[in-house]
Amino acid sequence: MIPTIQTHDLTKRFGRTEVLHEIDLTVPEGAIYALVGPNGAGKTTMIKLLMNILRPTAGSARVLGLDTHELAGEVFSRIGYVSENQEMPEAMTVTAMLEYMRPFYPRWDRELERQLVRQFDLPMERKLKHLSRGMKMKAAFASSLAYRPSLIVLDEPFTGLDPLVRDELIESLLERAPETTIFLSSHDLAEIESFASHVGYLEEGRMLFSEEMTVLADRFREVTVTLTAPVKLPHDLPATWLQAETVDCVVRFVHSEYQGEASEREVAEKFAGVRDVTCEAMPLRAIFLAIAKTGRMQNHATQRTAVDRRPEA
Amino acid sequence: MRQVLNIFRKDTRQFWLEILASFAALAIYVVHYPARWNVVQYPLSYQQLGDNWMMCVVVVAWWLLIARVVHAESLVGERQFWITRPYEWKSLIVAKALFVGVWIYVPFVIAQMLVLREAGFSPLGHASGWLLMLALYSGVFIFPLIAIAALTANFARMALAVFGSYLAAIACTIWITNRSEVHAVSVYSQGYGTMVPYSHFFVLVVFAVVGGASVVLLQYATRRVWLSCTLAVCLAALGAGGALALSSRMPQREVDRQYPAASSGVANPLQLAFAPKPSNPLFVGVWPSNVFIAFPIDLSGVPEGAAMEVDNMQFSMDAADGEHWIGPWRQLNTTPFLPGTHSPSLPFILSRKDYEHFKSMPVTLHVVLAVTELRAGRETTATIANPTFPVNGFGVCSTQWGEQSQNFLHCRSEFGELPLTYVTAAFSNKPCSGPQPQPEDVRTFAEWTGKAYPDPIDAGSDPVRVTFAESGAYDNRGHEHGTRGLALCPGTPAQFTHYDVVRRSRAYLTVPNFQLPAEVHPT
Repeated sequence: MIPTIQTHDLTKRFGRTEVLHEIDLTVPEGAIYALVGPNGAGKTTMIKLLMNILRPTAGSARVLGLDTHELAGEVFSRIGYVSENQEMPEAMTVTAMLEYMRPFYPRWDRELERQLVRQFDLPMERKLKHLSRGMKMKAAFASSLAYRPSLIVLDEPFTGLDPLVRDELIESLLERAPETTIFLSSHDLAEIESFASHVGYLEEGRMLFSEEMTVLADRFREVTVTLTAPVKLPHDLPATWLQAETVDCVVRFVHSEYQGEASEREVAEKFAGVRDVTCEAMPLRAIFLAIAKTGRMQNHATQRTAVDRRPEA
Repeated sequence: MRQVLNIFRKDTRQFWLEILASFAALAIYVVHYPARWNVVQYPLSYQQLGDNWMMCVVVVAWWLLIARVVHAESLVGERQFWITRPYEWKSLIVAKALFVGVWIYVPFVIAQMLVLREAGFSPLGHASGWLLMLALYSGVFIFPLIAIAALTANFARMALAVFGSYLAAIACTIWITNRSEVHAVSVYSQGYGTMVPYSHFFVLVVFAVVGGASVVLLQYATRRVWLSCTLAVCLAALGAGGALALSSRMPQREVDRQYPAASSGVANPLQLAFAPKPSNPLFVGVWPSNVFIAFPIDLSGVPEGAAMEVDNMQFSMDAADGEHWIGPWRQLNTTPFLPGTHSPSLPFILSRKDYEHFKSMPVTLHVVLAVTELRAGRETTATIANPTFPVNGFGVCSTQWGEQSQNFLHCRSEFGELPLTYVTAAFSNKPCSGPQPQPEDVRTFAEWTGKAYPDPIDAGSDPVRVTFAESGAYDNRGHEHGTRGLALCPGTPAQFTHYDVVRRSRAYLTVPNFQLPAEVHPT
């Protein structure tokens, strides 16, 4: 099966600033892929590259089987794109906008349109410029879902929305989920945790990981090792053990490649006098924090090394 | 096509106010434009604003309309909603072109037809005139505005770009004009001729249309602003270079080419003689770097039924010490000379250095006049009537009173300038309201109007050309007289004689032992 989105070494530079660095990403058909990362990580740039709004500096990306530079015209009748900072035709009423959009899409579903309008309770005769942010986003959703797109791309769609509106939008998305692939970006883990099937984490233009949520959840464990006597942390801890720390007789770390009993045996072998080992599943937020902090520490260490290696003037 | 119509409908609905504004501007133009035909009643406020203020209002309204419709689907930026919708760029550009065609070109053509009808002409016909006029508007206003709109994200940026381009164009024009004006010559038009011949000017207009269209096409196809901007700048530079090349081709070589030197044995087309007299003396004027000598001549030998237009002149000198000096061709702005003896004064300009060198010795002075020989052609006699009367092959005329109590003929023609015409009319020194004037009360006066090489359309770019055939400045031998207080009465005839170009040639005058006059310093 051809992935809906696939990138290879996708890189984007603005002048000397590298915003995205060799991103490899695969979004299978039918997935709800959440691209998360802090502000400024490169999520919006990534989406703009995928939508052919920007052109990559290096690497390539394919969307719906097409190279992104071929994305134009008719192919957008299969893509629904909504962005938090997209300019809408503000002077139009909601009715006028939907009427205007309709002829562009051969697969426009009037019944679905009516359903979305009812579901979102859109004020049809009000101009978009007079709508609240939440209403405007709902109108954008309605105009992007009514033609049953094969791919829905959302750039920070829930930012600044109240929980009620956010839930309404998520609900409408999930109703479409069986027939479409959804790719969305967010800097808020909590809002995507409940429904994303795949997740990718972007930080400072680098993809730290990209995988299925269930695999990710199975892979990470918060490990607590209780020892008979206090110990110092050995220097040769495996790279998959993140954020290791010790307090008296207790050692805690995040195992990023947890494999059940095998991992527990590995722990027992690493420390002398192990009294107890507990491995607890982690919430997504804790996993991300562990990865983010480790990533930042590694980046800082790399930078420090680079500074240290500079020849003295 | 479905998409084109959908976008067109949306734009029309969305910008109905701007469309109405441009219609209002055109309506003002149509309603007020005829006021220009009546010089005396032409409101002072209009005169102060300038002749073309109404068209300026229309152009500003177009600017607003073009900005709004192009920026509705802005081609600059990354946040526009339409760029991730299934717009075909070809449909988008056709929809915008349709909008401009329907809401700018069609109303404009209708407005000009109304102006033509109001002026007393048939709005239909004159296909070439229409085509040239629309090309002029497209090249000077519409296409450049569309191109700038396509390269800018909003109206404020567009305004900056328009003013920047306008200033650049003015600077470029001043530079080109200054560069060419030193040796201005008249080849293509009589009197105050255009620096760039009309045919060349239209090459530039067509270039502007094609260039503007290329930039717009590239921008719609690629949405790469830097690429389209580069193309626009290159085309603008190319256009300026072309204008410079076309204008710099005008002088000297062009006169040599257009006015062939007389072969030996061929009689001088004019009799010329150096003829200083108290009423027309040899006179020296001093400019900062040049010396100006008013060189009086007698000019005769124009055959009956002909006229002679002196377009350019050239002075040269041979000094006794063997030194030779030759001046450039210079344009001469005079009315055509009719049969008889005339005493014009030719401006002889040379540098102060050359003047100082040659004034100390007698020289052989050579004067060459580049002349256009004209022959009287079709003659039309019309009877003056109120308020207007048609003149076959000329236009629609009326009589009007000027501010100095002089009565004159005022004519308008459709599309383009009039051919060179000699207008004679009988003036009465009795009021028209009185009894029929006796022959001794009537004097005939005449005036030249039109051009030997008329431009296909008025550079002012409206379809109705206004001509002031004053018929009072000269008598029928070309001598100047006044007509103050005389009246052109209904029922009296006016004669319109077309003069056709026979050929261009040169007339020569040699003055041996000529002594450059000394400067006269004020005491």
